[in-house]
Amino acid sequence: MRHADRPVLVTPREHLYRRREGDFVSHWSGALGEPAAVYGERITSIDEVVLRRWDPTRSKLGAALANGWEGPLPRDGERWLYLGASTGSTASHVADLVGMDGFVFAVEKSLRPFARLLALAQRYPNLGPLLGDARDPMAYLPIVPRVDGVYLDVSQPDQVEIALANARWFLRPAGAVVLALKTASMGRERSAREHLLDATRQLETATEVEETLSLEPYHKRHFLIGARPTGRLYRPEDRPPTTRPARPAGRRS
Amino acid sequence: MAPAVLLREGRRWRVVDADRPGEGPSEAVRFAADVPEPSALRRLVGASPTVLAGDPVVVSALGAAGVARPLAGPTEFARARDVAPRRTTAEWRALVLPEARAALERALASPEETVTALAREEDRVERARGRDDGAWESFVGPPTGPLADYAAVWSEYRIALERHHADLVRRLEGAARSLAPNLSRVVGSRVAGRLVAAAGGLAPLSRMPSSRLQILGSRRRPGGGRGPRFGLLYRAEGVDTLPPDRQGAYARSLAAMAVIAARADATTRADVAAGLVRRRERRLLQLERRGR
Repeated sequence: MRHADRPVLVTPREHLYRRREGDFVSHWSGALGEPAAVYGERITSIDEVVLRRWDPTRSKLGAALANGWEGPLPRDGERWLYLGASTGSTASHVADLVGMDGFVFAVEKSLRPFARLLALAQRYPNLGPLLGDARDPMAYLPIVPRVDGVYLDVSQPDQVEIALANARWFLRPAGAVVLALKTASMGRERSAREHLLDATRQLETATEVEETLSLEPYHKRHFLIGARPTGRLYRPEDRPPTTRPARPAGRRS
Repeated sequence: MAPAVLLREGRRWRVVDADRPGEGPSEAVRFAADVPEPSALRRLVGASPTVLAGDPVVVSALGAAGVARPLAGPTEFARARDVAPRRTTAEWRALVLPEARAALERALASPEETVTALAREEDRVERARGRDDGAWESFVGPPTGPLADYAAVWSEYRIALERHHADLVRRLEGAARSLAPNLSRVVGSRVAGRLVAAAGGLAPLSRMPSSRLQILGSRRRPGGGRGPRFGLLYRAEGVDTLPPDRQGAYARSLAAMAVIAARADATTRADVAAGLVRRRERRLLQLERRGR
């Protein structure tokens, strides 16, 4: 490996570090798990803090950081609702960012990834897995409190509606919505840019979009969107349906 | 009367007026008792006509106490949640993890999950055996030296793997027969198990149109030119007895019968297999005669 600089703390984000590796600036998060590595990422330590390298090819939030994300990020002490946690590779980084005083509620629907997520949560102090469908927030409403942020990565055609419905129930008014938009799940008859435009327009009905960022080249046809809720989010008459819409034309499975 | 919220604070339980959550406990507490006795809990809930449970621990305790009406609508739930005291990270963890463990265990205990797990494992072992067979055929062992007895050692492993695979197939077939008896008789129990696993359960399978079941498990996708004729159904009863030019027609008919069987298995559990098997045999005979 070429010479790499010492990781440097990114301010004002707690638990997030940067390191120059040649032309690339990598991101690292302060590991809370024991052992530190979750998905085979590199580990280092600085001043007795163990750091995990945030792999942009494995994580959409990681890819956004690599592309210069300036939107909302989990901060120390916050509670986040993570929808579509899968095996927890990104959720564990989010848990790193919120630190020991924060908590991440990680919702996953599929059994097998959930089993791995649960195994991860056994050794992660602030990661709480919930077996459930993000399309049905009522199922985990009795458990999940108001949160400071909602992160959604579910690859569904109605992912924006799912994000808004969950934000309505769980997000506190000054919180943040971070949405990993997979445009390939929204039908193939339109371009990724058009889907992004649609999604932001839909988000603007109840939130203020702060930042959108393409995740190329790490994740093709993906975007990360950061938004803050407006008062309209909590008006009940605007509540969109959370039922599954018809399959978009051109999608083959 | 304003809805009240049942909260747990350590071993103390209290009913809080949901409309005045900010007021101190001395004002808001209407009734408090120590649980675990279900009778005390029933008395506690009985004191207020519209008690909501705002906490999963409370929900399960109420269920155990036989209190049937504690759950209110989502709005009240959200309100109960906002009234609940702030928890520390350790408390959240203690609340969520046992729930998650129990939920996973419940989900994995279903017969569908047994079939799915067995079908996946059987598929994996079958592929491993296929690769091993290929290697076995192309392996040339030197008659002397350290590799002289290698073929014998390997062959022992191969026999063990074959036995393991046969056991898996037997378990899969048994599980599929008890989960989907009709489908098992129409397409064969091993294929039935694989179909259930590929669809993600018996209910999703029963909701499929037959054209989708027909190509379930195929790697090719319909569209453009000629699409796939079958996926998992290639291994079903009767396909290999037909010449290739009639297999597609047979797969189409078989898929139509298979969805009927799957729907019966998923809903009424009525025995419809005998009629479907007769139809299958008739169709097979018809296709064998054609083109002769």
